Amino acid sequence: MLTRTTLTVAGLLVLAVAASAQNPGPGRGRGRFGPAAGNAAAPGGARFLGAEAGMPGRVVKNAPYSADMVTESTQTLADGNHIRQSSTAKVYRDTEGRTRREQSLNALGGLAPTSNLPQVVFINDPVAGFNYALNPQNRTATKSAWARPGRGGQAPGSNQSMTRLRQQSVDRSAANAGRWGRGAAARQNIKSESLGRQTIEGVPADGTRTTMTIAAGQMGNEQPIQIVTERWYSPDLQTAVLSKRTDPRMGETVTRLANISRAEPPNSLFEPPADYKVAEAGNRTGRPAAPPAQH
Amino acid sequence: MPELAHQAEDGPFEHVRECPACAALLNRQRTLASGLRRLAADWRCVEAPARVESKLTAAFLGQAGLTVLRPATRWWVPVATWATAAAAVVALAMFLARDRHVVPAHRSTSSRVELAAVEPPADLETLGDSSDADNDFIPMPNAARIEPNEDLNLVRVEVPRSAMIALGYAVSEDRASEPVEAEVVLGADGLARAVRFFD
Repeated sequence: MLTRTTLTVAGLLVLAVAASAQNPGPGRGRGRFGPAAGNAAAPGGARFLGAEAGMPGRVVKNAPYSADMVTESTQTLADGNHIRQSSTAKVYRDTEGRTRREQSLNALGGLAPTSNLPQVVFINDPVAGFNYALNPQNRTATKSAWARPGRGGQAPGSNQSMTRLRQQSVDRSAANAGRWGRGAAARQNIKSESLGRQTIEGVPADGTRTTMTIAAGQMGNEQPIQIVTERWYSPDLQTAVLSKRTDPRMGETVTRLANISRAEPPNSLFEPPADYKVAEAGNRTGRPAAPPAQH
Repeated sequence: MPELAHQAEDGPFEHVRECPACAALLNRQRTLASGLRRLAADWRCVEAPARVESKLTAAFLGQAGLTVLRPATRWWVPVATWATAAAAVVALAMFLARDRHVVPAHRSTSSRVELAAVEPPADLETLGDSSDADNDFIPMPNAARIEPNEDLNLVRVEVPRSAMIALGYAVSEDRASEPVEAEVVLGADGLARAVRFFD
């Protein structure tokens, strides 16, 4: 009797441990977009849950265009290895300042290296006062309120977090500039020079090269570190058509516009298609994991 | 040894003194008895388990045709056993369920085997204020800084927990393949700028 009871208890314990060790199955994620919004995850890969359009940096009116935006990033490691990332997007802007970005999601900076994530469309509509993130795969859209760009903008939900993120990045850059020196000393560390005007992808653009130097010993570096940024800005489009940033610590990143068209994009591009199911963006219920400790 | 037993009533030692054969027998008996007593003393700590003794006793009584008395059945023994087993299963399940959440690197993980932990570069500071729970974005390694007027968008994905390692989190080996929800901020160039993970 006692032996039989012991075996039964041991069996129950083994079953409980085995059941608890199972991973959540597909569709059990906590995203508010629910299982229907996600794509099937590749083994060891990522699963798309949804998207939310953020705020534009600024609203540009009377400068419509469309173009392909290609970004290529290359990093060379100390052992000679290379890390290459690329991103392509189709961008549109109309006369009213509404924008649309059809963005491919590749490896997401190494977070999802083996995944086949869908394309996402982000629409910013300052005229109607809404942002949309479209998922063409599932024909769904997430709608959020548009908030005026700027430090004082009161954006709801994740937009608020992104606004604060952007501001903190700017503040951090200012703090770094202060750390590297003030006044004349700071100006010696950052030099800008004009590269003149050139026609790039069929539009005239003004070039500027900015060189920032981190002096030797400033951050434990034996030799000075030079961070060089070349930016070709189109006054007509009011955007950069080519930018190249070289940082020996982080590699080289080139972003360029190709196939530029200055024709007015159709209005239909700046609103969700009629057959899309539109849902309001809500606040998250989960709590972010605390960042890892800085040592 | 009837002769010896008879003589013992009258005084065994008188006969033994006169009979060499009996003296030898008595001497051998004393030696044997002494040896058995010594053996018993040495093996006092070694005895058969109670269940063996009870089984032997039952077998003996059965062979001798005597009735074996069984102890009265105690109804509460199986009830208590099953209640204890159920409580143990519930406690184990609660323990395992409680342990299935994100463990930041600064928390103690001494009871787990760590797969790896990569510290972020010193110049990549956390963009979010650690005291502000609403904005715990972490800059992506080697990502360009965010410009003041840069367009930002957000993508939500579910990634393996092992993806957190590159951001400086400690991830235990047995949980590396578990999914964790992440919000990724995309810059104007479409590249990931920052990320935050959710429990």
